[in-house]
Amino acid sequence: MKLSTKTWPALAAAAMLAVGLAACASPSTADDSAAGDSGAKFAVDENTLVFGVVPDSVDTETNYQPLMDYIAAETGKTVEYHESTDYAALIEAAVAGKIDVASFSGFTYVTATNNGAAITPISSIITEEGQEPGYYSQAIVPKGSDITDLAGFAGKKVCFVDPSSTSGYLFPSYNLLNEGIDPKTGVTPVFAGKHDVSVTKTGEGVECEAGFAEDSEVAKSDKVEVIAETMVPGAPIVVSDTLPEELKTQLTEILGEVTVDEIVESGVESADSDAFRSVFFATLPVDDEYYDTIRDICEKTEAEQCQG
Amino acid sequence: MSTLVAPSRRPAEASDARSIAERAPKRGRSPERIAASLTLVAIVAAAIVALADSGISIPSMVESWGNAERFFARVGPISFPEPAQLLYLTALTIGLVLCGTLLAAVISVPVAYLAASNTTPGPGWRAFGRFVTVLTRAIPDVVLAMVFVLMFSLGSLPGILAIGIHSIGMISKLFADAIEQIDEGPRLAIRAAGGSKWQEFTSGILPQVLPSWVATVLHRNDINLRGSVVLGYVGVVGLGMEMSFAFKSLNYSLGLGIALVMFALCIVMEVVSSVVRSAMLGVAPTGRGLGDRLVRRVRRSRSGSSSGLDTPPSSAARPAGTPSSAARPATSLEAALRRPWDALRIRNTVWGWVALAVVVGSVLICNIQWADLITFWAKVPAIAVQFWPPDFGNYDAATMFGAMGQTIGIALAATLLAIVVSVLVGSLAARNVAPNGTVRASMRFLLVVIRGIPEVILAIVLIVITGLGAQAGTLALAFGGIGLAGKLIADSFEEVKSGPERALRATGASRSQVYASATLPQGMRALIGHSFYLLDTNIRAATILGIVGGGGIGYYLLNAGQGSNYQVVTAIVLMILVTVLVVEGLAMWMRRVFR
Repeated sequence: MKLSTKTWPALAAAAMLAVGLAACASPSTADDSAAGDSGAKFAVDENTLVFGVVPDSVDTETNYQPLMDYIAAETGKTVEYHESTDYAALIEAAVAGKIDVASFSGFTYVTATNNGAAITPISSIITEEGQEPGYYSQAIVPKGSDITDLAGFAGKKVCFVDPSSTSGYLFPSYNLLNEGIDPKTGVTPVFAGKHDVSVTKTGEGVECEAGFAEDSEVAKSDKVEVIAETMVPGAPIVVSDTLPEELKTQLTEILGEVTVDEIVESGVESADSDAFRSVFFATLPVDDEYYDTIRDICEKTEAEQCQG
Repeated sequence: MSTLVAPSRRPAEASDARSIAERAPKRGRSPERIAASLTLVAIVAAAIVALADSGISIPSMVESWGNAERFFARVGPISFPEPAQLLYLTALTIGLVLCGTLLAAVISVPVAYLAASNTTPGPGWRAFGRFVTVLTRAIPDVVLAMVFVLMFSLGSLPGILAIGIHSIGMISKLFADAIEQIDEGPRLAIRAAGGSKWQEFTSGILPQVLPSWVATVLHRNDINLRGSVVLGYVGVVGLGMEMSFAFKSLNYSLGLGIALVMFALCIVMEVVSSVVRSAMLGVAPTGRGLGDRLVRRVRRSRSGSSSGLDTPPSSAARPAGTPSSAARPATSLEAALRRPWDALRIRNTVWGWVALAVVVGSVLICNIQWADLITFWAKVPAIAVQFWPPDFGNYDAATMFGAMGQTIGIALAATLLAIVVSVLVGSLAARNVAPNGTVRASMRFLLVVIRGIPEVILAIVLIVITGLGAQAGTLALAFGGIGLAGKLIADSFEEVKSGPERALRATGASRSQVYASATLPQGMRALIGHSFYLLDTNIRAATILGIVGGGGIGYYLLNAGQGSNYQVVTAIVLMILVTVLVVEGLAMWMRRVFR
């Protein structure tokens, strides 16, 4: 008896919590089984598409809401839009089948598939007419430096961004390895943490005698000069392989090669803004092979994140 | 009954025909109290709406449980960094946190002196002191760290400054409170004897407030140690940064290994700080056997009445309120004039030197680039220009305010969930509520464990189960909040007056009746206070969870920081600042009204 008076508040509270949480459950959970008949699976339910985004390069702003409106209008589904700056979170979400459509860096795509995510790249976003998808990882030295090529980086203090950065570490490591320089022991690596810091420190020439950064940040500085650059494959828009075939086809059609003007013409008025036009001009189709460079880099640099 | 009570109170109205309810003395109902109650109800309602909105769905979580299993299968065995590196990182983390906390403690002394009503030179100074307190508290340390990382870029200085400046808020407030609570006697005596202001402070105030100050600093240091995990995510060196690198490169086994080290570190520091505190606060100087004392300390620290870490700010050399050996008869005048080197004094001196060694070691390990502090000022104008004016960049205001709203929503929902569970867990962890020692100890232990798990890790695991978005963020924050609020609630419930409880028990009330009628009502004010504190903490933390895809403003803040869109950073920081200040204002109002 004594025990019961002690435990009932606990039980009651636990029950209340459970009921409360259950009441919050989305009413459409039952639909999951309905969608399961064709073996297809959605991240949430068949009326919702989950769109996840990690900015590809540092100057990417992700005000893609009009793109969501466009997808919603074309497919007739609700689009849930999630942004993250953490690759790991989105990769895990992709591996767990918790996203239907996503836009993340080429490297993230390779890593996610290596880790078992069932996704297919369909296209990559460009921001200006005539552009190729992607951006450049640039090797920089202070203006007037004696270093004229990558081979000259040997034994110097070299600024990288951080060990998980594609254009600020992995591509540079690959390029250094190709010159016969071990990026860990052949140079004194300094992790600047950010692209602009890498540029600044290299420009000052004290903490770093040479460095690597993304082209958009390098262009802002007049204290450094570029001695080499490598194209980083553009960020793919991917679709989940578990979506029903016809929906996948439809998404490929509407997102494969579309310009901002076509989106506006289709009736999505929100797309007709400077903010959206500044981050989106069109998409160009890409396929899995497009990312073979990254796989090659994975192999050569033995980067941890490439391991499946 | 009515005839018994009424005459004793008002004999003249003994024959009053009104019912007992009408005649019973009533609490005055001020309009302000009603307004505050309504606000409280509105906030709770908003929290419920936010919770419903967050889309937490138990069935789909159960369904996705397999994801978590697959995730953990992929993680594999937990691994650790190499011993030498681990040792260095651990030392660096502790050193950095210590330096930051000490910096805050040093700056807090003058701030508290100005802010305390009994020492302030004037109302203007007092307002200034309070302003510094509120402002430094309002800017989240994560935001400070992000900005300092931009300015200083490399080394430990950004972390030290971020921790230091943010901690001034809490430390100086509690320092000022301690000054306001002193016995004015000694101070007045010194003034009457012609002592200077400085002498008044060092001899009249300092000895009285020192124990409380040390406790405050230790407590804050513990909070800062936990916080350093998150700071690593925005580029502050130490274990946190290594952990974030590990997670970013999907090396979960290493990341979890570092998290485990961090967790152990937090618990070790709680024990150490408990030992330091009991030694400094004069709890155990009565000369008992070492083993006896150790057992007592272990029990004390396990009971959770501890916090903080080993930071006696060199002041440990001064025995705080320890009883002197005055009882012994002086053998000679000469001897009486000198303080004898008794065991207590030797121990205190040793403690002092150890503390000093720890502090010096911290400074050394941090390898502070002192030159940065000088060259930094030359860079300030150029950087400051980039931060001003605030601007949303390419994002429209609706998106930004929406994201801020989502952050607040997540914080509200998480606070509600956490408070509901922590009232339960915290009550069972309170000595006067728990049915027996085992329940209490296990609940206290549970709270320590929960507090040790970094929210960022929790959020990533939850994303696997729940998918991206507010759901993962809310649950991660709610879980972390239980550790914090549960402990605070347990402590507050233990501090309620035992009179009403004893009175009820004497009338034969059951345990739950005692709880419902005596413990809970008395602890209600503290409960409201803790809820606001948790809300405040959660708003800061929700910012961080935005980084890992938990939704809200954090994503935009980090994205803007990484892309060096400093004007956007300023705009977002201002939004967070205003939000935190509003919550702070509400909390102060509530505390005043529900006094």
